[in-house]
Amino acid sequence: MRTLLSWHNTFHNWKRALAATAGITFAVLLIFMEVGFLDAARINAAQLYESMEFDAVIVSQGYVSAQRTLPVSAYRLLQAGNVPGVDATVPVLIETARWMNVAERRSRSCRVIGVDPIQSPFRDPALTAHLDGIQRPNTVLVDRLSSRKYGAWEPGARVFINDAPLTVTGEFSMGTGLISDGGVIVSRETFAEIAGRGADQGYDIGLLRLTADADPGPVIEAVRAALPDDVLVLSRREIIEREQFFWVNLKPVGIMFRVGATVAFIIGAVILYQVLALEIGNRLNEFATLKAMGYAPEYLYRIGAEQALIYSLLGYLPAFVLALGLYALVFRLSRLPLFMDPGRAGMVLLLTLAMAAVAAALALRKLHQADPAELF
Amino acid sequence: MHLVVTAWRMLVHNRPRLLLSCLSIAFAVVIMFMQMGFFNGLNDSQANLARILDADLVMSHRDKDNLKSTEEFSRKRWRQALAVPGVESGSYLYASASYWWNPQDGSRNRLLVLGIDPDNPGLRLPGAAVSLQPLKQPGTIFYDRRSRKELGNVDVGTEATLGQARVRVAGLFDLGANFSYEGHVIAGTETFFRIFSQRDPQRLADRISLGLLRLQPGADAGKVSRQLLDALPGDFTVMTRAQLEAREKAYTTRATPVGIIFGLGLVVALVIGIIICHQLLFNEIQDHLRQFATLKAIGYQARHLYLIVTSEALLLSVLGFLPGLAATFALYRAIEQLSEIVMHLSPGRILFILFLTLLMGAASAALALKQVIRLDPADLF
Repeated sequence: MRTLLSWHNTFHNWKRALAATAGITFAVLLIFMEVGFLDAARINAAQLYESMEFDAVIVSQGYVSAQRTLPVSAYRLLQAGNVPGVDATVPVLIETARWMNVAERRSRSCRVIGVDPIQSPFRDPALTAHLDGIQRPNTVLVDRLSSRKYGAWEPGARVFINDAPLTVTGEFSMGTGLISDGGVIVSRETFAEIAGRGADQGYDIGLLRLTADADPGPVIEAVRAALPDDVLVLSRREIIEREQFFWVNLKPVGIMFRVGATVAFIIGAVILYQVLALEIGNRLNEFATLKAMGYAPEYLYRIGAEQALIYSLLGYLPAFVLALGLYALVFRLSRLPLFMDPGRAGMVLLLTLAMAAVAAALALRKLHQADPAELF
Repeated sequence: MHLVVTAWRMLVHNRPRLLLSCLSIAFAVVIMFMQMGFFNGLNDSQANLARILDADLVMSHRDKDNLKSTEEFSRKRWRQALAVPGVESGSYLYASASYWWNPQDGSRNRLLVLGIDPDNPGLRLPGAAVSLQPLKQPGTIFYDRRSRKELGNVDVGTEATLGQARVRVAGLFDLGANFSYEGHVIAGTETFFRIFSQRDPQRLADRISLGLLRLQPGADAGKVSRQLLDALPGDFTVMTRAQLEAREKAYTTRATPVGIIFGLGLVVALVIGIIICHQLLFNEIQDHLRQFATLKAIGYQARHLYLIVTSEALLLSVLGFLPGLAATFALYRAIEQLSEIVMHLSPGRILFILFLTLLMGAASAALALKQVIRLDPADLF
């Protein structure tokens, strides 16, 4: 019965309810967009590490980001491998090279990952299976998600990276991060051909895999103690956070979307406040009547709060649907990894409810003006 | 005119509500300013290098499509260009990315090193000492004061490792970090070669990033450009500084999704603004139904009433725009302090948002049209 009254109040003037809901919908949609963009930057930054199987990494003290680092000598990996609890060390080479788009006669930036095909660093079994194909020298796997600026290529085609002629033996899907237009995976020998430096000059990233029964914290600590401080030993989580910090906080991406989301939140609360305040103002007499009939003030507050809840949820649902559409549109236009995930949907729902709470707290103060004595 | 006055009187009739309405519109205005500000901020920050070049014409490698990329061309070509009629003088600029070791915590960050001839720098540096002469002493650099703080606490006298060399800061200037580089330094050619001493010295000395040309008074930039391209081998392009700056800004929009991201944000903000304004107008009309009906009864046409409503909408827009603009000034400054994004408000940009705000008001008035036309005095009394 109680719910019915707040429901009825909301839809008594359904046109007004529609306009109010639309305002909240777009405010929530804007929050979805801003938070989505922020997450996209985070996902992009973490993609490389997320695609690999490891518990900790060894990188140079001069590490800036995965594509901007200094080599770590192979000896450091050997040292780490001797620490009890470390099961295996997997070296990875990374270089930013130039991919030649032959049709346009223009070169594009390209992330080259050099691996030992026998000892795959990757999680994806399909990708690991593909690594067989690059055992022959001067062969390459190309990331399907590379930019259209790369021009056309297909398995078997000849492509040029840093002017080295290479044969495409397959494709994979990883996503290319934020520096490069695209990416490829090659063997270490081919890597030396492209980059002009080989494994003898050290590796860019040393992945550590721990034994199944090892406790990561103490083992990583032991590796850190065993190695001199020209290298950093970071857990899986730490390296991903560091990479995200670089892209989201050091590069000024984060602040833009945080400010955007905050302003969207405030405007949502303002809209909702206005709707509620007007609603209460218009029904002050009805509320006063209820009071006169003996309903406790808490009951009136509950009706107001329920209305805030109804409006915010009604605004959230279409915003969710619209966000799905806009995410798909942005992904098609820009290949930003913008997808709805339950965590974000939940977080925005919480923000929407918080918005409703703020608006209700401000608007319900009006209710105490409902004075039965002034009714007649 | 008296219709506008009527609109004004209706608006100010309920002052607390007017205040709240203005506040709501101000928020919509602020969102629009933010979306535009970030879009321009990224483009402006990315294009900052173009602004400090002291040149009428700029030569660069034919394939170099933005100033952050690394294509270089032969200094010989620039020297030949100095002999072309119309060219008065010129400077050359080396530029290459290197790594700066934070003198405090030993972390490493990437910045852009500009190499210049201190006697003939070809740069107009905001906030720098007038003379770049101190750079003649090998091993000294000028440091961009607005580099990211992750590069460390750097002041005149700070020593740090940069690329292959140990350098000392001899002066400061203001340029600003951008998405490509965490900071900038300027070095004399001698120091520049030291920083990149791992490279082939002959090639290093020969390959410059930009050739900067200043023209004789009265010389036509377009004509001189054509002469340069005709007279010299075609491995370079030449453009005016203004063209270069425009291309730099456009490059970011083209190469990255900033246009999509903030364009979309602006559209959503505009829609929010229209909905808010419509709501305010709806309530305004609802509360003044008697007045409107009375006006109709005494002979006002529907289009008069509509003019009143439109005036109300536009007045509300302007009244909301002003506090929105004021808040924007404060927010822009705060964001500049917190990040290194250049948040610059030019009159053109302010007018653009004012235009969108008025558009917002007009659109919401159009939505309220039906409400006014349906009005029937007979229903009221």
